[in-house]
Amino acid sequence: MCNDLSHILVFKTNIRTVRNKKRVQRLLENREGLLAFNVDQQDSDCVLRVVAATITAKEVKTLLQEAGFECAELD
Amino acid sequence: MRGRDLNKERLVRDTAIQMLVEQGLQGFSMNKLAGACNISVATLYIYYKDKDDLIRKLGDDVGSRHMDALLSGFSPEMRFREGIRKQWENRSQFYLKYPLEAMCAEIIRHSPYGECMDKKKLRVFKDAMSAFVQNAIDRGELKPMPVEAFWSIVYGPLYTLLRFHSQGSSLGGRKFVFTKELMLQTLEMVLDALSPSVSKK
Repeated sequence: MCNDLSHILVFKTNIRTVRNKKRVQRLLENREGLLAFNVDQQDSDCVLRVVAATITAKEVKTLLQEAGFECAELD
Repeated sequence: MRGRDLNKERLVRDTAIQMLVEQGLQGFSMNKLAGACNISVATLYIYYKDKDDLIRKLGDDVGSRHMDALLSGFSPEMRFREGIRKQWENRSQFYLKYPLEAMCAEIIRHSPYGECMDKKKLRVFKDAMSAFVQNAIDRGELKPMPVEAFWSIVYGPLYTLLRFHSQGSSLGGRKFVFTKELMLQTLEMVLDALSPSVSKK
C-alpha cells in the first residue's frame, strides 16, 4: 500500500444485487483514469471504492447516476 | 494530499480485534467498526478494500505474531517434556500478554479466512510441530495417536485454565487467577498421561 491515499475515492451507493454489480463492472472496467474498483455488498452502504489515476469523484458520480444508480461520495 | 495516519490505523486494528472477539465474524461490519473507532466509513475504506480484505490482513498480522511467539525458543529437536513445556510457556505468555489477539487469531484461523493467514509461517510452524512429535514417537517418548487427540490432550487443559483466567472465575463462579505454579502442576499431569511408560503400568 502506498503512502499517498489521495487517489482513493469512496462512495455510498445502492449497488445491492449481483446483476447491478455486473452492470457497474461493465461501466467502470477499462475506464481511462481508473486503476481499480470494488463494491462491498456486505456493507449496508454498498460502498464503491475506486482507486483513481486521473478520474475525479465527480466523474464517477456522474457515470453511476446516469446509469440510474444512487451514488454519493463519502468523506 | 491524504497521507497515512498510523495512529488511526492502529486504532482501527485494535478495535477490529476487540469487535471480532466480542461479537464474532457474523456481528462484524465496516459500519460498526467505523462507529466504534469514531471515524468515517470512508476513512476505513481508504485503508481496506472491504470487510474481507480487513479480516484477511488482520488474520495475517495477528496470526504471524502468534506463530512467531509460539516458536520462540522452541526446537523440534527438544525432548518431548522440554518441548511441550516450552509450548505451554509460549502459549500462556502470549495469551496473558495479548489476550484479545490470541483469541482473534484462533477465531480467524478456524474460519474461512484462515486460509489466507501467512502460509509460509503456518508451514514453518506445522513442519516444526510435526517433526517434534515424530522425534518424540521415534524416541519412545510418545505413543502415536490421531492429531486431534494429541492436540486435545496436550493443549486442552492449558486453554481451559487460560479461559478461566480471562473470565476471572472457574467452576461455579469460583475466583480464579492463572499462575505458573498451577500451570506446571497441570503440565506434569498431562505429560505423565502421555508417557508410554506410565500408560503401561
